[in-house]
Amino acid sequence: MMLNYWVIQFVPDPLRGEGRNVAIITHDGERASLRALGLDRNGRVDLGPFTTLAGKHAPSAWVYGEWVRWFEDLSLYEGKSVERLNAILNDVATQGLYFTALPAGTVDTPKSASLEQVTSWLFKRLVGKVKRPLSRIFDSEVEEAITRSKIALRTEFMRDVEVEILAESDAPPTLLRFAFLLDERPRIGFKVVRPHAGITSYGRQVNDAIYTFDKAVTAGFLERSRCLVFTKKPSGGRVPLIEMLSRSAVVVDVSFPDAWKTIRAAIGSH
Amino acid sequence: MAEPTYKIRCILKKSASGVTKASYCTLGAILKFDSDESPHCVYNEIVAVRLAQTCHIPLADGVLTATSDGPSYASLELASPGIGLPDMLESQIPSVAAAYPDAVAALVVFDVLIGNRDRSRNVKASLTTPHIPIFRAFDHSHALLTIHETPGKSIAALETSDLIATQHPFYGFVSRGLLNTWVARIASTPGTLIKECARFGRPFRGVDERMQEQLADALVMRAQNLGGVVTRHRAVIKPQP
Repeated sequence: MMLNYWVIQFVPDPLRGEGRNVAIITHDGERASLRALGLDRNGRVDLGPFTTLAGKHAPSAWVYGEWVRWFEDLSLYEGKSVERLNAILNDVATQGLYFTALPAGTVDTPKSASLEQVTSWLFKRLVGKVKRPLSRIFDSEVEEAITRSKIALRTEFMRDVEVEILAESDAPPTLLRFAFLLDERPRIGFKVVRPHAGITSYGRQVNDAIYTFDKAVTAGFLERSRCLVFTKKPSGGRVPLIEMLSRSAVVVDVSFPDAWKTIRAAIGSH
Repeated sequence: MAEPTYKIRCILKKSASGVTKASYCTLGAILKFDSDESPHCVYNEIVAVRLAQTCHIPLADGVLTATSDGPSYASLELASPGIGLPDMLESQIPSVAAAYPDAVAALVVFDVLIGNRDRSRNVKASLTTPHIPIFRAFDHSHALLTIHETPGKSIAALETSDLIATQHPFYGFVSRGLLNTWVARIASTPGTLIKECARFGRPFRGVDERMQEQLADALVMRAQNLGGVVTRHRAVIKPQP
């Protein structure tokens, strides 16, 4: 069976013109199939791998999710004919500088292989996996939990928040920092303890989280049940630190697929 | 409607003074020029964006800039700095209409106002990132003075009750209620404001002041007649309940 296929590239520096393969589209004469970096079988896009290879464009990695949706709709609804698919893909480079579709040619496959199998095989050969630093994986897991809980859709959801707690006497105010804050009554405050930090830094992060939440609860800014910490399951010398932290906050292990449910549970009474 | 961010190519330096701590920067843009196919492209684009800003229609912003060939129109690149959104696919029209019903209604009425025959897929919209809503239309080279082969015929068309925009991606997907809201809103826009959008106070490339005045008058007339135009051609526009 002869298949047409195209390689979708992300071009981080249009002046240099060097592309990174991020997706494959195939066509067997009747329909098209797509495999894209970060796209799983359920149609969800993990932006982590693309964020890693995006370099300086990492802050706008969310646009990649829009492009994946675009390629999915193209393959599913407008990929009936090779000619039409080719015409639209030829136009991709004119829509902006950062994505291009290369008509890579044809591939001869055994009749027993399905279109999806061939597409997956080509994807492994031409795109593969992106090696990601552990810290990036953690960041994307935090974002995943936030996104799936839909807390980010709340208008009072904020990132990188500094809160000034005024003192009753002439004492200086207390400054507290939160990685995220939902400023709806009752509030939810979030800290992050990065799991791959060195033990000293890890201890400092834990102490900072305990201090912040204790101050926030004492001042009436937060309720204890709405102090959440994003981290991962600890090991070794970090276990006692997390046990201490768990007395001041709800510890959320973001590597668990259901981590977002803990956030939803905290939101639940809103 | 949420304000889109524009691409910033680079931050140059902060200005020396000022409480706002302003910085110099460059923005990314697509340059449009007059051509044989669209001899009044630059004028059309700047008038369209002025009208859109006056009526709060979701168009990509743009500015006039100077090139070696004279004035050109710089359509500012959309979305976050770095990576742009793709143009809307035909198959995405229902999803876009469902996600941005108000913007879609505004655009339909605006395109009827300016006689835009070629909206086609010239829309960029975010569909999968709900906390970053973006809907912006672009490219108006086939409207206003370029509806027909001459500016005179184009202006004459705007003075009639013809729909002109006989095809539009959002016909059949626009909300009837929102359509009526935007018709009323644009129809009640003061004529002086609409006229100012078409006037430059001097000849602009191939568009002399007399032609600018004629277009200005035609747009005011069309805005006031928008309700009648839309009602007459409801079978084509097919607004949905």
